[in-house]
Amino acid sequence: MNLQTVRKGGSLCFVLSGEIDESSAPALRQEMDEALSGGGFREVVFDMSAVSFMDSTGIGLLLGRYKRGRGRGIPMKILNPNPVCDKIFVLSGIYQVMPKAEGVQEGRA
Amino acid sequence: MSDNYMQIRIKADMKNESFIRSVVGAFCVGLNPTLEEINDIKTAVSEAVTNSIVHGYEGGEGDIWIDAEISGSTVRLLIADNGIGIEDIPAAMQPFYTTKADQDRSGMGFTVMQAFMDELTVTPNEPRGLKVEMKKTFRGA
Repeated sequence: MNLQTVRKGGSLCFVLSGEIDESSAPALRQEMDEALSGGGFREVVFDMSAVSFMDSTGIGLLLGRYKRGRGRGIPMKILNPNPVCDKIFVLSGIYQVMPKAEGVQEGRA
Repeated sequence: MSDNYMQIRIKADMKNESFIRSVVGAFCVGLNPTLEEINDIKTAVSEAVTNSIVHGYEGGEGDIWIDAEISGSTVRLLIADNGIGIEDIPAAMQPFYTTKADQDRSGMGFTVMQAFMDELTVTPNEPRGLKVEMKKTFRGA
């Protein structure tokens, strides 16, 4: 699992790649929370296009970050989820609070 | 009468999750599943194994048993542990049910297993623990 944090144009973008499960989630959570605790961004983007595997741990991970940002009113979206992630995202209903977006993210390196 | 079967006994450790789901996925490849079907199996296995590690053994020591059996184009999986088990299984199988919401648990594990497999049965293991039985028939591309 790899996480790249990219800041550009008011966006904080987390570019995830590899496998998201119980074993990789704690490190991701910590790294994301460090970035989220800072300021200087108006939206948060989770780029999921390079995620090769995800179980429901990924839902908990994203919803946990959403709850952290909710108090500050920061919108969050899920960018380019591949079919592997999309199936669980749809099942969980997460798109109701973190909409799905497609295309090239401005903040992406 | 099964066409093929395997059995794994492995330490209940998060670092084994990827290995377990990959082995089960590889075991099913001979049935010519679609990419989506293989991913469904791997995800369901991952959910059951996570459940054993996080809830069954609460992160402590223990074993997980994985039985896989192929008959025709159907795979039957049994994932069992000797952990603390679940007192109220029907309640735990409800979507978003979690006893560990503070740890970013979504409570979606059984819902995912149910949605991604054709059959799911959860029963207490004897003398203790949990048994998760799942079936899926591969329909191919």
